[in-house]
Parts: sequence; C-alpha cells; structure tokens
Amino acid sequence: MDCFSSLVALLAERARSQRNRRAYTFLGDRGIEEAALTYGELHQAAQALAVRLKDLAQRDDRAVLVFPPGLEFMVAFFGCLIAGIIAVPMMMPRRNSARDSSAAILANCEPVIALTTSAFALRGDLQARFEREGLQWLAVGLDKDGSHDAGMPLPEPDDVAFLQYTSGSTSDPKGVAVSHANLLANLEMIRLSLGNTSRSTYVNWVPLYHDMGLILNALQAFYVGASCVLMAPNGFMQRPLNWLRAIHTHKAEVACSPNFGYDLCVSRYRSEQMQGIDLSNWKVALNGAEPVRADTIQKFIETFAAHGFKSSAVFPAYGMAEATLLISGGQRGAGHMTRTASRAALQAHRVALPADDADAQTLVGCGRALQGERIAIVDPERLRRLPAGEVGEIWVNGANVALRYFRNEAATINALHARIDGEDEASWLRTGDLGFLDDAGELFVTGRIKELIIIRGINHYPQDIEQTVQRLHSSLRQNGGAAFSVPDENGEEVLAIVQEIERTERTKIDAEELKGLIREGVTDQHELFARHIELIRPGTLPKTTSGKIQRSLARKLWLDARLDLLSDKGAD
Amino acid sequence: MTQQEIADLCVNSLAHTLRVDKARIDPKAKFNRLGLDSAMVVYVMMELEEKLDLELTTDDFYDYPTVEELSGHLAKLRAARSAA
Repeated sequence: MDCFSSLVALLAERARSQRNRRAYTFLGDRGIEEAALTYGELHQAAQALAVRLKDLAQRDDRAVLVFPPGLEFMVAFFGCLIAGIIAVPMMMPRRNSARDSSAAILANCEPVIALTTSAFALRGDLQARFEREGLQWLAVGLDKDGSHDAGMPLPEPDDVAFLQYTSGSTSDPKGVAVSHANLLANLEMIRLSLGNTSRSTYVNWVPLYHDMGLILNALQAFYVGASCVLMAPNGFMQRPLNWLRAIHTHKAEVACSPNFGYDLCVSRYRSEQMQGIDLSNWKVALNGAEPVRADTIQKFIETFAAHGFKSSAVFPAYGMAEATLLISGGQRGAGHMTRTASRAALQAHRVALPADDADAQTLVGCGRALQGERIAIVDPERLRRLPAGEVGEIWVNGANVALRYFRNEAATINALHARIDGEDEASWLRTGDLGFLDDAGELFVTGRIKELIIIRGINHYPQDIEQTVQRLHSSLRQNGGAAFSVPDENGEEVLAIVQEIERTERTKIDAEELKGLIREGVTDQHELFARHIELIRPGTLPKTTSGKIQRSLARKLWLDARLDLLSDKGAD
Repeated sequence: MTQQEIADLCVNSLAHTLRVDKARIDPKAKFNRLGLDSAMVVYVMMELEEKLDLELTTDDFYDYPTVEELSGHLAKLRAARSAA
C-alpha cells in the first residue's frame, strides 16, 4: 500500500478519493442502524472538532475519550489526531463504583480536557467525578457541515498519536505511547496477514476503548478503505447471534472477538433464530486478546458449519498494546493448526509428548511473526535466546513496538528496551507471556510470567484486587492476600482469592459474612465474580524473605488444597 | 405463574450462572453480594426473558437487586401484560 506519514494524511486521502464511501455504521442494542458516516463526513466532523480543540488545548496535551457506544468516538479520535492532541481512550466509569482505574490513569496522563457525547455530558456522577479532576468537558457530535480546513501542521511519524492504558496496575499505570509510525507499521502488518482490501467489510462488537476494537477493527477498516459496522458491546453480550446476523446482512469478510465471544455464540445458539443466515462470506474470524482454546474453535465450527461457516476462516492470533496490537497471526483462508502436548510438562515450562490421554493438552497455534517483525523466545532469567521447541518468554522486535510508556521510565527500560544477551543492539519488547516456536516459526502461547488475570478479554492486576479486599474490613490483613486465576471445570479462567485474617480477630469473625463482603467488593470495584474465596491463618500466605507475595506458590497451594484454612470446613 | 415460581426460576438461573448450590442463593441477598458481575447479569436476564417471555433490561437488576424484589417486579410485569 502507498506510504503515508500519519493517519491524518491518510484520512485526507480517503476523504478525497472515497468521499462518499461509507466508513462507519453504528447498530444500536437491537441491531437497528442508528448512525453512519462517510469518509468525507468523518473528515469534516473531525476537522471541525480539531478547530474547537485548538482553542482549548496545546499540541501534545492529553484528552480523555469517554464515550458510550457510537460513532462520536471515531470523530473525537481523528479530531485529536488532526489537532495534535494525544487521545486517551477510557472505559466508561461504572455507575456505582467509588474507585477504579480511571483515577490512576488521569493522575498519570494529566489530561486538560475530556471528550464525550452531549447526552453523556449530562450524567451527574460523571460530571462530579471529572470536575474533581479539574477537567473541562467538550461534547462531540456528528456534525457534518461547516467544512473548513483545520489548517494545522501534519503530525510527524514519531509523534505520539494516542495512549493505550491496557496494562499496568492502579499503583503503576502504564500508558503505551503509540506513535503514528507504530500505528501505520502495525496496520500494514495486519493488512498483509489478514489479506484485507477495500472490500473487506468489518462487523465489530468489541468496545473502542479496547485495543482490539480500535486498531484491529475500526482503524484497520479505515486503513484499507473498507467499511466498518460497529455494534454496541452490550447488544452483543445480550444477543450474540445479532453479531452473526450483522455479518450476514453486511456480507462482512472480517469479524474478530476474544475467545469468550465465540463460546457465547455457541451457548446462545437457537436454530429458529438463525434461519436464512449465511456465514459463507466470512473470511477471517480472528480470535485473540485472551487465550485461544481448541475446544471453543471446534464447537464453533460444528455449530455454524450448517450456516456456511468455513473452518478455513478460523484465525487465531496473539497481540498486545505494547506492539500497537497484533504480534502474530496466520494467513487468510489457512485455518488454524493445533498441537498436542503434555500438560504436566507444560506446567514445568517444557514441551513433550503427553504420557497418556489425561495428560494431553491441545494447544492452538497463534500464527507467525508478521512481515518486518521478529519474535524470539528468551530465557527470562539468563536473557539468552532459546531454540525452537523450548518454552521461554516471548520477545518482539519491530516497527510496531512502542518506544515508551508515558511517564514511566522504569517500565519503559524494563519492558520495551530489553536486550538479548550475546546478540546485537536490537531493542526488544518483553511480553511477560510464555510460549514456544515450532520449526516453521508458528507461535504457541503456553502461559504467563506476569501475574495478570485475563477474564473475558480484560486484563486485571492481582495487586488491585488484593487492595480492594484489604480495604473492606479491619480483620483482613494488609499485604496478606493473593488474587490469581484458576481454571474452572471447562478450563476457563476464574478468579480465586486467598486472604489472611488478623490474629486478634480470628475467633470473632463471621467467615461467611466476610466472604460475602469480599465477593460484593470485588464485583462492585472490578466487575469480576470471585468464584473461590479462602480465609487463611495469619502468617501462612507464602512470601519471599523480603515480604513479597508469592502468588504462583499460593496458587499451587490452592490447587493442591494445601492452604492453612481458618476453619476445617473451609472450602467455598 | 406465581411469584414464588418466578423466584424459584431466578434462584435456579443464578445458581447455574454462578455454578453454586441453589441452597446458597439467599432470596434476600443483593445480587452483587452474591458476586453477580455485569456479564453474568446479562446471562441471567437472557434466561429469564426466554422462560418468562418478557423483555427485560439490565437496569431491572439494579432497580430490583434481590431475588425477592426482582420476582415481585417480574410477576407484576406478567400480570400487567395478561390484563392488557
């Protein structure tokens, strides 16, 4: 594809050459079309916003984007790019939550302005929350008239386009500073891997504050000059088959989801609701943003083959915000590959043939390194490269890897500028994930070093959950808890919490009441169900000599039922 | 269907979604106390819509946040519909 210096230059070109082409369509909760923008209209609305922004903020100032589902987000995003304001997409704060990650993000990026829709600007609790931060509101609409050239300088390739806060705990927020060069590099890699053209219509339900929704869907469609249909995420959660119906109606070639979305479609399948729905035009069913599961893929193929879904469309992938988005992927039409390995050996970070059926675990290949990018498997302690077939940390080098986290130099040096011992000066991204490459370069992700909990495609940090728990009641010991994920009976990750009780309170507490309090607190603050909660005796949580919590050891003790429970009946 | 039958449906659906024993679902306990997160609210809502032939929204679960309150509300919705 032609080379552009920034997305702003590309937007101007789309508005010139494809002025009346439908760029974005928005479907409401019930699947009805509620709004649409052509490339020309998108350019006009974004330019008009950029002119307004110029009076309120300087270049390189930050603007938070807090939007309900709709197309206003896209206008705000491009408006910021044109004005040279760094956009910071944020999840909508929850109605009842007192604290969440938004406060930490605001403190780290210090925005001067918040953008939202006029309807949302009226929500009282939001107004109060952002007023406390001294933030000025600006309402963004889809105004299509008043076309005037914003007359602003084009961004340079290394200018920061936006900050993506998907990683980092509340105490140590990490905003990936994605440059225009990063974005264009990854969008080109995605185009080549997915085989996209201007005819590659997208149907997307993943929220736009999530990197998968924004980059893989909304921006990739824009990059190739295709049309992107956006659905309300809640509409998908309530009626997942509407996603498939929209894929049929719009003859979409590409539709992506984290693994749980495919499970949801299978569990909500009703043949009478799927009459006449043809999925044979669906060429890329990308599965990423959380571990890809072989049985999910198998069930999806079996359920929807009768509706024309082709197994060759299955497209497992791996990525993260630090690499702009996509790190590995397959080829359009190639389908997926699996490999059977020993579960016990994988837990010990080795690849071996299974001892028997019970020991067999099916791994799904997540494709290969993208064009112009390198993937290395590295011993995470000795920092030496490992050969094919050995499990180690996944490292990535390429023009899609961000140069820094915003105002977090320690994390930048540690995670984005790593060096492989005994090799050249190339700078690598340490993903914190474990995996191996086969002889052909296919990447298999096998686990995680970082203590991250991924549920329904959203990253949660254990220390944030532990802190929530310990603030709930004086009998819950500070720095005496561990949160981690364990597999449920279907192999999906669920949340488990173990928490020490203060010595002096041990005989006084009502264990069931405390567990209820913890469940409620975690649900309210983190939107997560704490499936397992164990209260343990003080001083029995495994810690290092320096007092650091050993979460993986706590997890192992939990799995082996060897924790020192407060009561013998204990089990939740 | 009586309110009690509707309450039983709610309890069944909650127990199934949370994968806990029915006996552990206290009809007076708030849904967030049971640990129901927003995605799970949607699962329970879908099941109740199908079984009761009603159109619900997730707000119903925030406005009537226990099995007792929700089943009362659902019984009224069904009664209002048959009267119409």
